[in-house]
Amino acid sequence: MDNLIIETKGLTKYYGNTAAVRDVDLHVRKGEIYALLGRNGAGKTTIMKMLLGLSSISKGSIHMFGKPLDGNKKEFLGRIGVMIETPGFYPNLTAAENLEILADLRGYVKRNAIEESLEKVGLPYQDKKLFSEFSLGMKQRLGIAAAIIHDPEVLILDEPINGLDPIGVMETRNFIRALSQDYGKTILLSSHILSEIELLADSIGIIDKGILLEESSYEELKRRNMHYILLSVEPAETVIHMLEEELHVKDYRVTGKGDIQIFDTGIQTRDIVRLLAGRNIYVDAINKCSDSLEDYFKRMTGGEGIG
Amino acid sequence: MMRRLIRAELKKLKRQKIVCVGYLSILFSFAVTCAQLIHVSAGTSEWENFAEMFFYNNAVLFLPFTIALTGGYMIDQEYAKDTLKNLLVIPVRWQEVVKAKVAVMFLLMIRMGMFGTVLLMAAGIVSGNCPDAFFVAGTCVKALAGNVCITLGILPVILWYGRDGGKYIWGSILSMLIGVSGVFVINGEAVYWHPVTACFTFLSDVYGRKSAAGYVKSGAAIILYILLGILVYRVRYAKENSAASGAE
Repeated sequence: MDNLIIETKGLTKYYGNTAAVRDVDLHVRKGEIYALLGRNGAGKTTIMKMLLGLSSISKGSIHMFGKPLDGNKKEFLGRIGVMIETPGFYPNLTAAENLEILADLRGYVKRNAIEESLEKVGLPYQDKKLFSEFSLGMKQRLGIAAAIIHDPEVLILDEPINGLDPIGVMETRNFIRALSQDYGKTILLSSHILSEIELLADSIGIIDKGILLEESSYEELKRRNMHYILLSVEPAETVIHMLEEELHVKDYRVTGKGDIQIFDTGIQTRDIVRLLAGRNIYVDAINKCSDSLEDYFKRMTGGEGIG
Repeated sequence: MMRRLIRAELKKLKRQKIVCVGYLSILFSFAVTCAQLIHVSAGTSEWENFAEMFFYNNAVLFLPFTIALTGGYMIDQEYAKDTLKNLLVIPVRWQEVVKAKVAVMFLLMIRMGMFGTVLLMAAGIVSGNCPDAFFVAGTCVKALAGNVCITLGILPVILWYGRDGGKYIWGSILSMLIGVSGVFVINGEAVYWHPVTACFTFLSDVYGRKSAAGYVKSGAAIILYILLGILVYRVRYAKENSAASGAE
């Protein structure tokens, strides 16, 4: 698709014989907020580092702005703002002094870029406080300020709301949303705070053990997978056979309690009731349910929550 | 780009206490020389003798440690404070950053040499034994050249140890030992080849052994240490592509 800003094909990274990332096909479209969801060690940061050329690629390819990363890295990095992992700055310098160094090395930032970017993240420009005296939240804000100082087209933010207080989380969320909506920036971020992702992301990629399990728009994800019909009935095996044969149900799951979750969007509860009543099968309960993103994440990754 | 990198490196040194260690070591060296002078009879002139002793003390006792500590810290901090990733995504090549750091190391040593010269002049004025301007200028040039040569001699150690998180302290200790070992080679053939004392042949009238062969040997030694520095840089940094740099 021609509006793809970031596209990877079969992106793979090995550390020795261990695959940290396996065959990831990522698609980030222009102007959207794309969230990579995964537990710690799932491979989110490794993917981001490969996108930035900070980590070598074992296999696969990366295209950005419609061109391959190889040979165009310098040009791409000038168009991308980055915050990877915990922000690292010089502890003996103030926020403005730290940004001055980065701005000077970039060489082409606007005259008042430092002041503007600090203001955007809510850090005072004239503050004499040294980076070593910053709280984790302030460090995080400075990391974002450094990422936007050169007015990039794309932002790659690794855990941008990590360590922020509730007000800071809300401000950062609004700020990221504004960057996307008002300024048309494309944003790739990673997070394990699912409630925030629900409020922020346009598209979501769920990654577990280095594999991208699902990639879709959040709306589509909600429509397809997070809404389902929960059917309590016995015997489940017989009912499943009927549902497959008669209603062509394909996407379902049997829970530990023996209930059936049906994710196929085209199936109506009345069709199920009619079918089962016609076969003299008693239905204990049938409900339309909605999963939270966390429930869905657990279901997809087959384990505990994300934290 | 190199100018911008050097400017950035100088900014990074703002409020760095480790730079003060360099100036303190020169002050300490000055104090030690004053104490020594009480017990040593003057040679041709008191001020000249003092300047030579100050130069010698700096070279063998203080500068190697100070240079290695400051230089190693400058390199190490980019790994320790995780700031390297910010530079690599600009993009700036880590190899270029290291070159800028080496350039700033030399600038710092020149500044310290000037500080030492100011102390010497102050001592001359206070003691009422101030030499003429020509001699002061010569001493200043010697001090600056001496600092540059000693930095060249110690550079391989700095580059080798700066790369491995926190190990620059060991590099500083090794450099101090190298410096102190200069005391023991001062009267032997090794004085021409030692990383710290090689420059004495050119720069010291008292501690240098002036001969045609000596100049050749010391010149060769300094070139050798420059080549060794380049070799260590190539082994430890130049082959390191940005993908493997610290931010992995």
